Amino acid sequence: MAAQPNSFVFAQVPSTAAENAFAFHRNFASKDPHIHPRIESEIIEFAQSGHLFGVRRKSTHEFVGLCYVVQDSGESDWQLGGLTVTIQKQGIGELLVRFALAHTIVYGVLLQEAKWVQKILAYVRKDNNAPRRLLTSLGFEHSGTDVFSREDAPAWMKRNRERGNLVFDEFTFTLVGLRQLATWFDERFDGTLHPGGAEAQINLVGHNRIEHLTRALRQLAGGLDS
Amino acid sequence: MSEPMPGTSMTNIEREQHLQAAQKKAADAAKADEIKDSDFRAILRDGQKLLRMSEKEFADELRVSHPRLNRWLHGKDLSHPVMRPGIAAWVAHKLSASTRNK
Repeated sequence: MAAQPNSFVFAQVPSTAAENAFAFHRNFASKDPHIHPRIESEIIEFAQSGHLFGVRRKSTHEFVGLCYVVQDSGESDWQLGGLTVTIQKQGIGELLVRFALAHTIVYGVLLQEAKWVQKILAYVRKDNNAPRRLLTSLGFEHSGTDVFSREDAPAWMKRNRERGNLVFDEFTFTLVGLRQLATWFDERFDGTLHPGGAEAQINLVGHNRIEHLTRALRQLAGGLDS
Repeated sequence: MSEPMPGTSMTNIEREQHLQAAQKKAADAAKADEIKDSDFRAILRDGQKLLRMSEKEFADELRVSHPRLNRWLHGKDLSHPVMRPGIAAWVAHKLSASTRNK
């Protein structure tokens, strides 16, 4: 059966598509000063480790969205970043972030006894307003402001032409956000984008389906109240 | 009499029997709502071994990171129990394909 013209596939980016994903990221990051440009080896590593999430047109496999949720080490917190979407106001970015969060939570062990043992953080530059509303609407809360001198800042925070201190707001994904996420997949997600209306197919590790993801999230959220 | 496979003490017939048993175990587990930690670990371990893949190859095929698969194989940081049957189904499918391709 031919794919509908407006059908999108949300999935981990396989390492075989990492080169295309990097080209997409580089193109976007070169135009948007708020996107931290990652080098090719980083994007390949994210893809190989299963932490790069993408949206592609079902018909052409062309990337229309990308983000990652990564760790510096096995025990550290996770960082959501690199959200780039070329088609605006269709709900693609929102679903991509929900998918990436849900995937990270159910395939890892971020929660124990109703508490985060590994948090999911997002860093937003002080002068970047665009993602703040999305993050708070998805259940992140502002959890601090970090000021780094250029010398002390992690490499990913720096852009070559910048001078002076780098200021980032830190947002943390909350337990309330987890409940919202579970409810959203359970009650709101119907396989289409809102408000765009296009088909949104979600591919998961193994032979898992969206029902499994939803049930796992529901159990995790239910465990918060017990 | 079947000769042992090079590099192993397992004959082809024994391997075939192991393959079928592991495939059945994974397929049965795939039908469950959830899979216990020890069973999930055994399904992954048997799958990797019988498919003759390195951990890295197995992780790449499954689309999880190598460190994550390694932790799963050692019973650490396992995925949510609800997500395990889908992974067992994938292992069963790969083992079944491996049997057919012989």
